[in-house]
Amino acid sequence: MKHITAVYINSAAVLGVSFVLLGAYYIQFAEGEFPCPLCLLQRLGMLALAFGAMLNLRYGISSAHYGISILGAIFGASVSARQILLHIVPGTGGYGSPVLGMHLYTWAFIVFVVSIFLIGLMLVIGTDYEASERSEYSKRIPQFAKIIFFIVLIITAANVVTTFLECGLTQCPDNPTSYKY
Amino acid sequence: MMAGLFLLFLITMVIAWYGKKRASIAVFFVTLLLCALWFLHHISDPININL
Repeated sequence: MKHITAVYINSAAVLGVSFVLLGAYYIQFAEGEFPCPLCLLQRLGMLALAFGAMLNLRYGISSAHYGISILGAIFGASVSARQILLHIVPGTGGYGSPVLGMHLYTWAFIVFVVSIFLIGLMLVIGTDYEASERSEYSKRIPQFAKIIFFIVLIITAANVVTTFLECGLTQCPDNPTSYKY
Repeated sequence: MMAGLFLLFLITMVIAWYGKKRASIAVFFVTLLLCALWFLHHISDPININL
C-alpha cells in the first residue's frame, strides 16, 4: 500500500472518531443527557484510539503508532464492557437513551473492537515504509492531515471545558443531572 | 480529575504537533495509566447477576 493511501485511511479513521465524539456532544446538549463518569472515560478511550492515528498523520505511518491506538482501544473497550455488564440483566434499564436500538456504551464497545480489527489489518498490509519516506512526509504534511489533526485538538479542548463545567475539580457524580458551574 | 485527564490528552496532542514525538508518547502513557487508575477508582461495585 502506498504511504499516502495509508495516510488517507488514517485520516478517515480520525474523522470517524471525531464524528463519534461530536455525536456524544449532540446527545449531551441537544438531548440533554449528561455523560456519566464511565461515559467520560469512554470519550478518553476514543481520544486515545485517535491519538495513534494522529501520530501517523503528523509523523508518517508507523506500526508503533498503531500499537498506541490498540492500547487506547483496549482501555476504551474495557470501560464500555464494564458499563454494558452493569445493565445487562433484563429489566435493570440502561444509562441514557438508546440510539438505533443500542445504548451509546454498546456502540462504543463495537467501535473499539472493530477498530482493533481494522488496525490489525493495517498492520498486515501497510507499515513497511522506509524511514526516509516518513521523514519526507513529516516535512511536508498534507493540508488535510493538518486540518484533521486540529479538529481532534479542538474537540479535546472542548471536552476539557465541558467536563470541568460538569464536574469541576472533584469527582464526577455517578448520575449527573446538572452542571456544577 | 476527569477534566484534568482531558487536559493531559490535549497537552499530549500539542506536544506531538510541535515535533516532540517521544515526549508526547511518554505523556500519553502517563495519561492512559491515570485513566486506568481512575477507572479502577470508579468501579467500586462488584458485578453480579441476581436471578
